[in-house]
Amino acid sequence: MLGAPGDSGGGWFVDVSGVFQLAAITSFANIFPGYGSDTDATFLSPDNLSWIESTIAPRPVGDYDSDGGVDGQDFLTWQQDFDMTGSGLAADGNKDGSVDAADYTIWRDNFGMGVPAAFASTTVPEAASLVLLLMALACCNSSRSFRRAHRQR
Amino acid sequence: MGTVDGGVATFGGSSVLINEHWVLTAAHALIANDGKLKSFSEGYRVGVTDNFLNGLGENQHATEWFLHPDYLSIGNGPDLALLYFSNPFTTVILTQMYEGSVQVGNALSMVGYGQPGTPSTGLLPIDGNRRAGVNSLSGIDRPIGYIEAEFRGPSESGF
Repeated sequence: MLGAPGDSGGGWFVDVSGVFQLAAITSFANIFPGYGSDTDATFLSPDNLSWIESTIAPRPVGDYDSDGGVDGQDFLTWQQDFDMTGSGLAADGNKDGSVDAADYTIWRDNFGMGVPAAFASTTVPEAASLVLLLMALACCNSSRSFRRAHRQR
Repeated sequence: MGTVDGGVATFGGSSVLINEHWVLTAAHALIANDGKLKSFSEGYRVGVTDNFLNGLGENQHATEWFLHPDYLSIGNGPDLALLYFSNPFTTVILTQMYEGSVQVGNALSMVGYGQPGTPSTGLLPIDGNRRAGVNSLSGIDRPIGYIEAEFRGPSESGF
């Protein structure tokens, strides 16, 4: 039977006219020796479905903060992640495992994508400013401790 | 279904492929109750397999991961996380999301790699097999958003 250790993340499905639709994700179980368990799952309520749909919706390249548009906030995300390495880095636009100048270029080239015109700035940091910024970040990063690479939205 | 894993010998939990690029799993499969990421040396790897002890089948490492913003700990907030894979899974059957409501007594089909057993055997050690079973919904905790299914032997109350 299910719902015991190891099943976390498993799917609970509702049969809708022969099509099994995902309704919940297994979370935890209280084990009762001798016969089984009580198992709890997170129901995919409208709020949870909304979070899932908004998260998996196609995002423009360079949208490092996953808000649906490429704007100044994504530059700040790139700045914060600069020089970090690993998987799952928010500002690793080219998915090469490091956040570097190439990811800045991706952000710059896509600036304004997905952002309502009324809210989009028309200027991006210029190359000279970028050089100064990179130098500053290099200094900062020399003493910066490892930070978690995952993204909590 | 797949596994959230840091290596063939390390099992983090079950998960559901909701399309070619995205996997839905439990947040606590990625993050411990102290709020720290679980330290899988290889990162989060998901495989599509019938038995994770025999191999992960088609598998790859997650490119990005997202925790539900309201998740705090097990039983406290939506225990949900999404994993993104830049390369699509090919052995995938698209999962439709259920948008309706549920009631106590509804039959739900559960799929995962959980511990096996029957009322006569009790819980048995994990053998790596993916299984499916049907149980009826026995409780709904609306404020938290959790639903519950009880597994009882014939001689137990609530069977």
